[in-house]
Amino acid sequence: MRLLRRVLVSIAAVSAVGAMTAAVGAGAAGAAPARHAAGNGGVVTFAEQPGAPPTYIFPLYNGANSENADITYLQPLMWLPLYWFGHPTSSAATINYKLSMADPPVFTNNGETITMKLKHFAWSTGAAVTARDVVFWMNLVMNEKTNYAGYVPGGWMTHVASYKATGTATFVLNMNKSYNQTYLLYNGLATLTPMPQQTWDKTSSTSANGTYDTTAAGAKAVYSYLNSASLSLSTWDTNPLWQVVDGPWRLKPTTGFQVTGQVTMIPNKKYSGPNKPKISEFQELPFTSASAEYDALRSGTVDYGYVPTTDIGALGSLKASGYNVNPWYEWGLTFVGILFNNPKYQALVSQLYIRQAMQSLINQPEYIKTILDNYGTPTYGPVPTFPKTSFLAPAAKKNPYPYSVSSAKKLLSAHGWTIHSGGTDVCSKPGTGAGKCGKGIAAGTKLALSFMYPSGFPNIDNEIQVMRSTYAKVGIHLTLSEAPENTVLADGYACIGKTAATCPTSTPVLSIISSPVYTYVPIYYPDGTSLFGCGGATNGGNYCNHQVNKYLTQIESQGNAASTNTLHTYQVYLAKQLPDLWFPNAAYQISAISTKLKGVTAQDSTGHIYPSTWTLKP
Amino acid sequence: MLDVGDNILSPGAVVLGGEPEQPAAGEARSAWRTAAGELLGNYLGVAGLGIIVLMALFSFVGPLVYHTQQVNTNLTQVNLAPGGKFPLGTDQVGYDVLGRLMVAGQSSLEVGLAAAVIAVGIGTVWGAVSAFVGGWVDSVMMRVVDALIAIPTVLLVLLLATIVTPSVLTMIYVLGFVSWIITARLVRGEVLVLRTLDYVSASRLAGERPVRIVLRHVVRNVIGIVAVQATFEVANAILLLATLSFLGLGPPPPAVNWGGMLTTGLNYIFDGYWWQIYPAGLCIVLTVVAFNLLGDATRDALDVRLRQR
Amino acid sequence: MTRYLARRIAQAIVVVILVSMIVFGILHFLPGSPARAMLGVRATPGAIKAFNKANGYTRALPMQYLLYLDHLVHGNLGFSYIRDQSVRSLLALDVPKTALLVGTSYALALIIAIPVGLAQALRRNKPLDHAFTVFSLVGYSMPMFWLGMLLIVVFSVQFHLFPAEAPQGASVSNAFSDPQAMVLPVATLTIVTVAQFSRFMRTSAIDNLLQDYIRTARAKGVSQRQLVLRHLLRNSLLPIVTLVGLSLPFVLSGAIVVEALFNYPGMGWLFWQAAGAHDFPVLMGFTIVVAVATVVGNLLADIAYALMDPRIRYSAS
Repeated sequence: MRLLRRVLVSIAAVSAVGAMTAAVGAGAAGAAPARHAAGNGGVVTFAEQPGAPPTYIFPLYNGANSENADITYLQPLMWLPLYWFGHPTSSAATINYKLSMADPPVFTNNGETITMKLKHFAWSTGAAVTARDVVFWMNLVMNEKTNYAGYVPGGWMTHVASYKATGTATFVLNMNKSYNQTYLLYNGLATLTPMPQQTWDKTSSTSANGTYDTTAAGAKAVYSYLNSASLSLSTWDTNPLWQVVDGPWRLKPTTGFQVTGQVTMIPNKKYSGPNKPKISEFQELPFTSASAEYDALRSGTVDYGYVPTTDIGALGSLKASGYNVNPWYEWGLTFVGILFNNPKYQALVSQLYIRQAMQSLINQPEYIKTILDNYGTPTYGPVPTFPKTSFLAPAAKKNPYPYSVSSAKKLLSAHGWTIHSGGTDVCSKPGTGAGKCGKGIAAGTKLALSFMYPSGFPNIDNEIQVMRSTYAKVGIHLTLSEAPENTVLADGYACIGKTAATCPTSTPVLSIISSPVYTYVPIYYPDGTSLFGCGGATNGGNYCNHQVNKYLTQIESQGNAASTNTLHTYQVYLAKQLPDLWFPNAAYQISAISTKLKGVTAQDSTGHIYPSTWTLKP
Repeated sequence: MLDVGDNILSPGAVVLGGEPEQPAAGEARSAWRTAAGELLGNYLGVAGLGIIVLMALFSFVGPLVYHTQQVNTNLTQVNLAPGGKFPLGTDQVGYDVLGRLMVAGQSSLEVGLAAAVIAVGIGTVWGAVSAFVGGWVDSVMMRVVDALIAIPTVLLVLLLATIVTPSVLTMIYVLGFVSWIITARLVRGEVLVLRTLDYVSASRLAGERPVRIVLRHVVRNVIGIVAVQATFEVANAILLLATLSFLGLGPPPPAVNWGGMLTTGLNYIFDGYWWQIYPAGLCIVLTVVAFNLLGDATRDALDVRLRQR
Repeated sequence: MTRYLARRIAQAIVVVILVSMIVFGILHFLPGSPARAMLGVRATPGAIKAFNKANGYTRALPMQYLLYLDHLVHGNLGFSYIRDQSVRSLLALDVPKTALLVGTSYALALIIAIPVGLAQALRRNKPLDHAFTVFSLVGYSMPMFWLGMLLIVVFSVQFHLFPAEAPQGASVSNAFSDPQAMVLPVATLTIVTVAQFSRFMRTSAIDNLLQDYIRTARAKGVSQRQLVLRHLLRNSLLPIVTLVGLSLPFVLSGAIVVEALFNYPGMGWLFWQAAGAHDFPVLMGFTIVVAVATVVGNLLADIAYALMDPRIRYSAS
């Protein structure tokens, strides 16, 4: 043992020497480990999700850059949206007028004219935030729709007739269609973000500020310039563009960002809204993996971090060293996607009874209890069951298909399947009448489906193993394949918008990605139009049900009370129709928050964080 | 994990420019018998063979003797410590670990053997054709080999894994595809020597077609080298399969291999479930050591055979 | 010698081009593009179309390849979809970190393996030889991630001697401010490499011991010390030169596992992430860099070998 120790010490010494010699010439400044600065409110450190550093600072973000690291941890701290969703003191993903930059929108002209009056907010340059800044946003986004992640084809942006600033503080939007007010607020107005027109309206770093955004070509040029400035990660903290903010924070000049993802923000002294920052510096730290983050957490360099799901078993020591542990759920859904146009499986999954059998074999409460260690919430329909909101119908709080192996078996045998427990069921009564397998299912068809899921998520792996085994009990054979998450995404969505004839049969008919599969952020209204509507932009399974579409159209255009009623009817209906298989929603992260960090009273399901409400007690 | 690189490094496998020893034309039975005798005389080789046989029995016959539920998960008995009903405890979804090791051993051994067969198969044909045809064909074929050597195996496997869906079968193909290079170089070197020998030239003069010559004489002469190489490739494939599982690219359930079990166990290393880690790790090390021992011993035996001629 | 060199360099260039073709072929084997993987669940058909057009996926495959080559010779390795940075700047950041890890392990492995192998050859079939044979056998029969994990359990969790995490900073200089954190990753890679090298050195030395010149030297009354240092070591080292070049891809394979295990943000880790995320430009760029490194390494090894051993004939085929 002593020899071994000596060898190791000498290895350590030699490697240090070797490292020194190799370092000559490679002397870039590294990230200094975060330490609590004395006095002046202190420095709070916050852990970014593993392997997901921020890569985009421009608030008009595209789909490739819509990670929380960009759109909830970074941009909204510096550029506030016109209407703020979420709360520092509760998890509900609802409108928050107190933190919003404008008064509630006023609907006139049969709801087609919307008037928004800005409160008094100022840019860090001292200039007021005006309606012209909202027009600037609209000009860019309307001309660069496909580059904006919040754009939904056929959605509200398609129905914008005109918009203008009728005063310095009044922005008026005219629609050519009357929308439900809540719906338009949650899905459309929610995305408006004033941007500093006086300093950002330019087409290159050398061009003078102008009004380029007023023409289509000019708006595209301005977008292109701002986009490329945003893609130049190494210049974020030196580019004067990004220092013009209206939110409570700004990047610390020259050292505020490292390309690995370390963000350092300091208070914006000119911030004119509620909740002025009390701490002197807010740092967001990047991590290569959850275990790397956990080590940092245990060594005390992170004030607000998270526990990897595999380490939930041993939380005692963490709590003893001064951390509170709380799950953070997102405003979203978790489900196993069903592909309805894979020609090989189309006939099978089109049968509601088969989907019902599959759903009743997923034991959500048991998965949550045993596999997720109680850090999960059930998903029963299109509206999240947590956080509880008025969107959730009372009837949708219950599982429409409780776990039951026997009822799954009964469903299948009642429809002409010969059950082979542990094997694969075979259709023995083809045809379309009662007691028959159904349209397009020939005699001898086997009940076997392909299922793809992401690697690297131990909890999903365990859930899928249990699911496969339970399905096998009733003779539904699942052929599993495991791949990196992005591969699952690419394969699972390979047939979106395609006809069955052009959809490869090798495309997995069932697929899941890590939870939540879909978040209602920044399109906050939880009806899932683009997810469940026929031909919806993100309807990866090509589910199409005309009754669903009828409800969705009604929800969009009815008055507030009627619309809420329809939403309730719709969600109960859709929950039973199974456009996918509802699956437990695991916590977005199991947060570990230092007991020294005061003011974190809730974790916002929109993913927003509120460091300006936090204080650090020594 | 060490991969094909392993073999580049194994002594005798490296083509250093030194000439391989020249075998005699006649293929005497007694020479093989000498080799077999030598092999049996090498106690390490016998130990290796013994471990392999034991592992095969454990994996394939074990489940017939020790019955466990390896199809249905059971959430009421997860992460139980060894003892009583479960000599090696249970895992995260309630499988009996001892029984799981047996099932996992089947895939590990099958994938290892099958990948090795594919690897030496491709390698032998590639090397023999390259050497025998010669000229620019040889040049092109050897540059392809150089190119594949220049890509680290794990890199190559990661790339392949982005386009194939992992399953036991695709794993065999992928591992076979990345492991044939050494065999190709070895066989080529051997054939280059044999080609110049009298009996091949003689049969050529006698009007035999080149393909037949390759089949009849050359391949028969390189069989020893190929056998040794195949043994090492089994060891490599088992390690590489484990590495793939660690990187999240192993075959999915219900397939299970030792590397996958080890990787899953390691996820929970700080929770104290040691029985989910050490037995699986031990199985891998024992089996790989055994194949390496057998390979070493076979090569030594073959050297003796060649020397005695 | 000049002709030999010219020939070897030409071969090296061909090999690098072949590597780029093989990797490009693999990545573009499947129809479609990484658009969905990049743009996520919410991506609209319009956004996917725009992505494909912007990144050239709408062109014919050979055209895409030629375009890539054209960029490559102009030093443009492409732009990482995921990291929003040029592959070149990612390389500039990550290659030194991996070079440090691999370089240190290599150097240590040689320093340890050469004397060990030599000692084994001189004490053939003695307890020392057997002990190291067993060590090297187990060393290369062990999955590297497990070896690393065992080191973590023993030295980090049990005895708190070294951290379980490699230095996390963006720049290679972090490794120096935190040398403790480099110990376990370097040790893992070194142990496995020593297992390989020492075994090779042993065989090489044994082969040399049987050669005539050793017998002649012994007969001439050369001292054991002289014999070992002057003759045996020098001649046994010849094949090691080749080995160092040839084993680079193998050590880099190991670096991927070590970086993944110890969360060391080097190029191996980046490659692993990029493979999972279909970040094609990163995958292409890194493979080519590695291939160039290997080919150049081999070339240098060959030249060194030729210089050291005048017997070699330049009849490479």
